[in-house]
Amino acid sequence: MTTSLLPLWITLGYIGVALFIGLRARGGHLMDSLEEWGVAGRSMGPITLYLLIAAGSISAYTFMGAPGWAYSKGVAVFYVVIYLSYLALVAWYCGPKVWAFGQRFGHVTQGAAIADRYQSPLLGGLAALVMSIGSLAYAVLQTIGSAYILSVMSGGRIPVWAGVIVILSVIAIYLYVSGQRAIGLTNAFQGILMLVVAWTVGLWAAHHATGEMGFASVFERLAAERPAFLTLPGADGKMSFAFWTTSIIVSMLSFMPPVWSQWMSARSADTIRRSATWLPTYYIVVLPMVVVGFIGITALPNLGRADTVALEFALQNLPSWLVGLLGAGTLAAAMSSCEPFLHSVSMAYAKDIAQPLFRLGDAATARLARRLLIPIMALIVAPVAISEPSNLIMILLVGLGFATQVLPAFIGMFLWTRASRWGVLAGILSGFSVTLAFTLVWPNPLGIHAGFWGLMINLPLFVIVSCLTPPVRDDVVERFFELAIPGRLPSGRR
Amino acid sequence: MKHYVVRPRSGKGWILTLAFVALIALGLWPVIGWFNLPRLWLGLPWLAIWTYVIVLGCWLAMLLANRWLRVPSHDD
Repeated sequence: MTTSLLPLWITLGYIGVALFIGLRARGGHLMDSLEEWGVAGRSMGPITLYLLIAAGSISAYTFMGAPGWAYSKGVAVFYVVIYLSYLALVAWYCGPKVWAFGQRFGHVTQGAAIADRYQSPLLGGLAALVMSIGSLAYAVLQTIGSAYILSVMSGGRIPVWAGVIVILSVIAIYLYVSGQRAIGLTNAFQGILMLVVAWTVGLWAAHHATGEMGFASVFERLAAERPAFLTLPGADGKMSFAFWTTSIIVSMLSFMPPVWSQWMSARSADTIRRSATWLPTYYIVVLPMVVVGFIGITALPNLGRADTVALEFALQNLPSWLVGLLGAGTLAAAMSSCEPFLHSVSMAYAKDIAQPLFRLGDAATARLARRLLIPIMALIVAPVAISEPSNLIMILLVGLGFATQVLPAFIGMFLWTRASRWGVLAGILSGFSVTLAFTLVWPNPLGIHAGFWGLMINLPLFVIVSCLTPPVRDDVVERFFELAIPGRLPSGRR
Repeated sequence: MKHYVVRPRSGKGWILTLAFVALIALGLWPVIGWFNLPRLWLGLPWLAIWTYVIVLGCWLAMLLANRWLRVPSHDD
């Protein structure tokens, strides 16, 4: 814990700036429709979208978990950089199509697109409901991370429960007022801040540890003294080739709902391609923070919790202003990932579940989505975050495992016309059951990711059942694939 | 209607598809095993260097794809 108040003031200053930007993001736009509040009127340009997607994919994990992985496992941590780059390829291919569906058919949520493609509000609602489990668990984890940072930066003066309330209140205010526009602009600010903080902290830490403004000496020492950290399966022996490979595949194929909202917020299909093209360049943000974890292997050999290595090293060795910047950067990473998930859950509950269930009009649905933010935060996220449940990681893993199991729904949107609603349903349910069993009962058999086992059952069943059951109406399939086939996006706003 | 699986419609489309698939293969086993050595290059572990080679490859492949598919820009 720090005794200086400077880190706290820097961190609180960051929160103030984020709040100001979030409120200003509204810019006179009326937030009375999901087109505006949900997808920012499909208006975001390439730079904002680049920073929105980049910052959204860089969570508190990059500032806490990734250095922790480097500290406990070694180079195994780089699988994250690889799958994030592959997600950019996925965004390049699928993003423009999702944008075109949204623009042509009026979709504002992932569930709405699924319901439309398979002519099944039930399937759309089911997908939205179960996707929300992983989304909420993710938001809770980021909220806990944010509150922990505030606690550390304040030297314990701000307890975790108060930190949770502060962070969620700030996010609630600007999300309610400015919706997706707030996420876009705050993520842009947070994305730049994270990049600057990560490299400043990484280079400063390396200089402090080795006397050089580079990372070579850090790794030369490890190569000589602890070479197990430089190869798989890593120092703890847990990252086998099988787990590395299947983790990347499963992570790459997880189409989380906020990503869809981000794609649909673009000004044009071309905007998404341009942003996706440059996305991999952002992931140099991971390298310096990982290096801090590697430095910790020799500098902090007896750490109790690996994911505190960057903060502990900073508190013990870096000047107060840099500790404050690290706190602000970590908080930015946590908030930039938390807010899109909260926003997408609100929209999914209102648009994909409440609207078809209660036959609400579009205006009432938009009002409901905004208002749902408050109970979701106050009744679900805050109490769970304050109680800091020990099985939250498990909930998150199961939730993310499910996200991958929705893959058949997307294959039927982008690649295969014959996909039927029963095929998708069979694939999702079987894949989810297998993932659940191989996460809770028999974790990752043969060192293969549980979600990958799920896909191995899911995809064949999806194909077989689709071929055996009636396809979706021709006119629906044709209007989707008119847009999904390369080169056939609508002219004018490609 | 006659059902189908979406495929690239030109030679360049096929090349790009194969480039994307190859890039993904470069980050998985068995390729990753060839770089799994406790050696350094430019001061970084081989696996870290290989990771950023893949990052660079993804960026270049998409740059090339944008140029080849001649997607017109409507952004200011």
